[in-house]
Amino acid sequence: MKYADKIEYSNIQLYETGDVQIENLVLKAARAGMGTIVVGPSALPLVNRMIKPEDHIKIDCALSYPSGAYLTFQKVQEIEDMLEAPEHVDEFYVVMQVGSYLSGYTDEMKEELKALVKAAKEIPVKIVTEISVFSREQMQELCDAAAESGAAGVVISADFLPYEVPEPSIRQVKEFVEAAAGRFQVIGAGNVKEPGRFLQMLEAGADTVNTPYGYEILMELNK
Amino acid sequence: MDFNKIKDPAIAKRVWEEGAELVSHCHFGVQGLTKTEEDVKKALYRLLDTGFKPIAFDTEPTFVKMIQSITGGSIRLHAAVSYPLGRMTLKKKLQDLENLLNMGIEDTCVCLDWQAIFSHRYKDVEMEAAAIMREFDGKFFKNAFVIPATLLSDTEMIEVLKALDAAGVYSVKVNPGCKLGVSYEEVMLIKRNFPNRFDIHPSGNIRTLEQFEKYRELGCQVIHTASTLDIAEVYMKRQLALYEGSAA
Repeated sequence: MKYADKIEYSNIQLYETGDVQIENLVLKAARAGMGTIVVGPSALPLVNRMIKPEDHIKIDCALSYPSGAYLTFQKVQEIEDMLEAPEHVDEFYVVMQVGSYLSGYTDEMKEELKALVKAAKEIPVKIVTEISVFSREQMQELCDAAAESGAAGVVISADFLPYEVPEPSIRQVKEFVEAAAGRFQVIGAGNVKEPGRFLQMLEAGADTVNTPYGYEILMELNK
Repeated sequence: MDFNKIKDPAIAKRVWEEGAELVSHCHFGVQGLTKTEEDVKKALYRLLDTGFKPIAFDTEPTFVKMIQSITGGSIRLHAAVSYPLGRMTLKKKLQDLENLLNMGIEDTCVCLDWQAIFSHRYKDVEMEAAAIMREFDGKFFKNAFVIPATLLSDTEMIEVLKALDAAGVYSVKVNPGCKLGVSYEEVMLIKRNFPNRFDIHPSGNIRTLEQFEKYRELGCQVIHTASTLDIAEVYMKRQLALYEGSAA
């Protein structure tokens, strides 16, 4: 389907996620040709049982989600555990310490990103952040740190609605893409529920978009 | 409340003590992805200014050192494990419980594997809780297990609680907060079906004195509310009016 490769299909944002919802995520991804799903650690055994190499669906696992307010060593510990676990993971989503960074701990933020990427070894790391609460200078600082750390991408919002963080505006997405300057993938996110906002994110320069509404959006766009 | 404005020192003392007693049943704090040191300090200083001690001040690992440097350990700290979605592996939950103890955090709650709960895999819920109880029972002031009661039917709730009971769990936090709020009915359901089995910690959407008092009447000793200090203020004003003989 057109745009299927632009979606990182996810249900990490949703509270009511049992085995059925995880199964449906995989089935819908396969049906629509979406190349990436994003799940939490507890879903890995099930998605590993379901997804075969010939499905060409990457498994992204979200760690420290949604708050990210853990010390770096705790996140490193979690990554290391995942690497030791029998379940296959293609990429990690890891939520950065947004609150600490906003509190002025810039050096610590840089060190955190480096530590996460290093801990993941050859598995690509996508840093989850909240660009809507950043100034342009902070976006630039984060992008430079992400590039220096070797992160594969930055997800621009955790999209966890109960936290009541404002969704990124399209202007902010453009500013972030500009700051990223092609040095890593920019994954759009944040209240993407319908084709309009999804397309706006892509037009603003996002490489892909994370959304739990990927299937519905694709159905609408491919009518 | 400005206690200096109360003419009778005995009344002032009594009202303060009653406010302190109310707060001693509460969890109060600040958590969230974009919460800053400033946000946490603001809430912490507001608490310290009252002189009241809640059951614990709720925070996240990133701010523990800062809080400890301010309080010198005078306020018990609480941090949750795998909050609020419970999707971390059991191994990670156990590691984080150990990490919390090493950080000097004395109170915690653990979000259970909600994927197992929503999938009715109650044996898995029991095994997870039992593993945690085996290693950490008695090591925290309280270690409550968080259930998403609001998202469950009565039958599902009862099944989860049976699993927890079988695992030896005796403290349950009913909802994590974070937009999932407790109801009186949920607490009453647990009381009715599991009399004297669980120490119930209602959480989420508790904002008024009336709600606080209702949960206390239902027998809850531990109440999570970000409105702790506002509720205490309303309560003390009401008590003051009572003792001074004027309308609240």
